[in-house]
Formats: sequence, C-alpha cells, structure tokens
Amino acid sequence: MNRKIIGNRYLYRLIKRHVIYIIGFVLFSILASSFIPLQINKYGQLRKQSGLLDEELARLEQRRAVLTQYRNINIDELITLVNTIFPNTEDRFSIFGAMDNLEVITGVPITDYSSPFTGHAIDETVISAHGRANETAFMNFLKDYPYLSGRLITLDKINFNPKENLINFSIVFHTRDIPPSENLIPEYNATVVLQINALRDELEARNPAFAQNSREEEVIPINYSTKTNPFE
Amino acid sequence: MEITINLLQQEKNYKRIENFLHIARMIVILFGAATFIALIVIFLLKRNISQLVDSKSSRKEQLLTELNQVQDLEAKVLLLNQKTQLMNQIVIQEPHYLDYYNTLKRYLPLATNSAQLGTITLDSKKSAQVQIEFAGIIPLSEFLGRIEEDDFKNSFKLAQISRISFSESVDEQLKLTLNVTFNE
Repeated sequence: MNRKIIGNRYLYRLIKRHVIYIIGFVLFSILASSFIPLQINKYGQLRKQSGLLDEELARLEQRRAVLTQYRNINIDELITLVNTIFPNTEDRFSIFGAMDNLEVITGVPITDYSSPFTGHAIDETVISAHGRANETAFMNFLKDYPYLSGRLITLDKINFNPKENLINFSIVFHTRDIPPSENLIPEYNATVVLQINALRDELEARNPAFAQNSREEEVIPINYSTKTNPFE
Repeated sequence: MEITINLLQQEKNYKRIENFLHIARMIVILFGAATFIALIVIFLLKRNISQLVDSKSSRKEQLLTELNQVQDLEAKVLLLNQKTQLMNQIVIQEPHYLDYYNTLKRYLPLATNSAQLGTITLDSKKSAQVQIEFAGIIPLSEFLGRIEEDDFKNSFKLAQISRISFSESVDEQLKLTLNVTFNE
C-alpha cells in the first residue's frame, strides 16, 4: 500500500516535471507533420509562379525591345508598299496597270493577254500573254519580272521563239490575306526593313508609274480658313 | 507495524528512469529547436519569394500597359514580318529561269551557225523543252556526241531527246527536240 503511494507520488512528480516537454513535443510534432509541409508546399508554388513570371517577363521584355526598335521606322510606309506588291485581296483592275508596267520595265511589248476577270482569284490570278521580244528583251524579262511591275509575279511557263522574236508566257499574280495572330511574338528583322527599302528604291528608280505615284502623294492642306455659312 | 524501504534497489530503477527521461528531454529540445529553425528559414524564404513575385507581377502589369499602348504597332510589325516572309518563300520557290536559259545556251551549238535555236519553253517544274535546228547531219552528230559527255550530263538532272525530224521543204533542216530538267 505504502509502496503504491510512493510509486504514484513519484509518477506524479515525474509528470509534473515533464509536462512542458510533453506539451512541447505534441506542439512540435503537429508543426513538423502538418504546418511545415504546408508552408513548404506554398513556398514551392510561389517558386513555380516566380518561374512562370520570369518566362512571361522575358517574352514581354522581348516584345517591348522589338517594338522600341521599330519606333524610328515608318512602318506604315513599309506595309503600304508590301500591300501594294503583295495585296490582301486581288483588285483585278490593278492587273492592267501591272501588265503595262511589266511592258515598260522589261522592254517587251505585250501584244495581248487574257482577261483577269475570268476564274476565281483566291491567292493567285493567272494571266496568259503574248509579246514580242528579241533575246536581250527576253533575258531582261526573265531578270526583272518578279517585283518590278509593282506586283509580286511568278512565271508559270514561258516560251521564246528567237527566230520570230515572239514570247508567250503564263504569269501568276499573288495575293494573300493574313489573319491577325495573337500567339506570335514580333521579331525585329533588319533584313526585312532593308529589303523593303531596297525594293522601294528600285521601284522608284525603274518603274515610272511607281515613281510618279510617289511624287503625287502630296499632303492635303488643312489650314484653309473656315466659314460659318457654307453658302456665302 | 514495520515499513521496509530498500533504497539501494529503488536507486537502480530510479537512475534508469532518470537517464531515459534525460535523453527524452534532450530529444524534445533538439526536435523543438530544429522545428523552430525550419519555421524561421521557411518564413524568410517565403517572404523573399513573395516579395520577388510581387515585384515581378507589378513589372508585368507595367509592361502589359506599355504594350497595350503600342498594340497597333505590334500588329503592324507582325503583319509586315509574316507578309515579307511569305513573299520571300514564293520568290525562293521560283525557278531561276535566267540561269537556266544561260546554262542551256552554254551547251547548245548556237555559236557556230551550224545550228539555230527554234523555240525554248521553260516551266515552273524546272524543266525545259528546246527545239534546235541543224543545217546538216554533221553538226547534229557532233551535238549528239556532246550530249553524251560527262560535263553535259552533270549539268542537268535529266536530258533526253524526244524527237528528231527532217524537213525537206525548207533548207533541208534537221530538227531536234531536247527535254531537260535542271539541277536545283
């Protein structure tokens, strides 16, 4: 009986002495098993988010850097030229002008050609033509036909008869409508700018109709005096 | 009544228990310290990464605002690049007709007046049909011999004679039709 009392008192004293350790152990165990893993998980998510933001920022910075490079370039002028050479949709009447230009630039008189109004013109309009050309004119034609008429032209077939100085050819006028794309990142391509500027210079130098159009692009005067009564 | 207390026997058990509890206390203290340090480290790491994410997010917002202001320019740049790329693709695919014509001229026996070019047809399949008119059998034989030479064969992907005809009516001409396909 006494031994039991002594033993209980000893156990009670032990518990009393270690209660803080027991509470601490339970608390730290809960922290170590649930709170810390949760925090580590959150930290991992933040790191992942940071990585994704890095990628997004790199893309955005790249877009910004590219656009900054284009600030000193007259992009409207470049697009107008490209759209003239390679239009979005075919204006079939413009083919008459292009054929006239082709004749002037290559020195090949075109005696007749098929109507541009026949058939469907989706991306391509094919024209068959006949002309007169000696060997020099024929070679000039082969050299200058792709751009210098003011339109992008490819040659499907050409037949040359040097004895009779005749050429027959079939050419293709190209158009292409490009839908706006959202996922593409713009790139600064100095070659493209140089290429289009070189093309414009060559067209101005060699294509009389193009040079004339460039000169005729005058600014409409807007500083005229205004009237209160239009019938005065 | 007599109470018996054996202190020597109790001491042995007591020391064992005390040793065990001492080790247990040390483990709890170390475990607690480790948990505490881990919590501090995680807190600092989380605070740093949160600040970083916040600054990156605000930079992203700033860039998006800037880019929205130049949306038109961006659309134009994309259009210009795509259109020029397409234009170049079309031109690159175009056969080099002038080079092909010059290659043909180099191999045709036109300089000697013993032969004349009748017609030449070049097409987008990088092939040509050439009609050559020979004044007699000797220049024709010479040309046929030349076709068999390695230099001629190597200059074309394919070269074949499709027709030889004889015309008595006008100057007794021999007409040869040659089909060639050019190397890329």
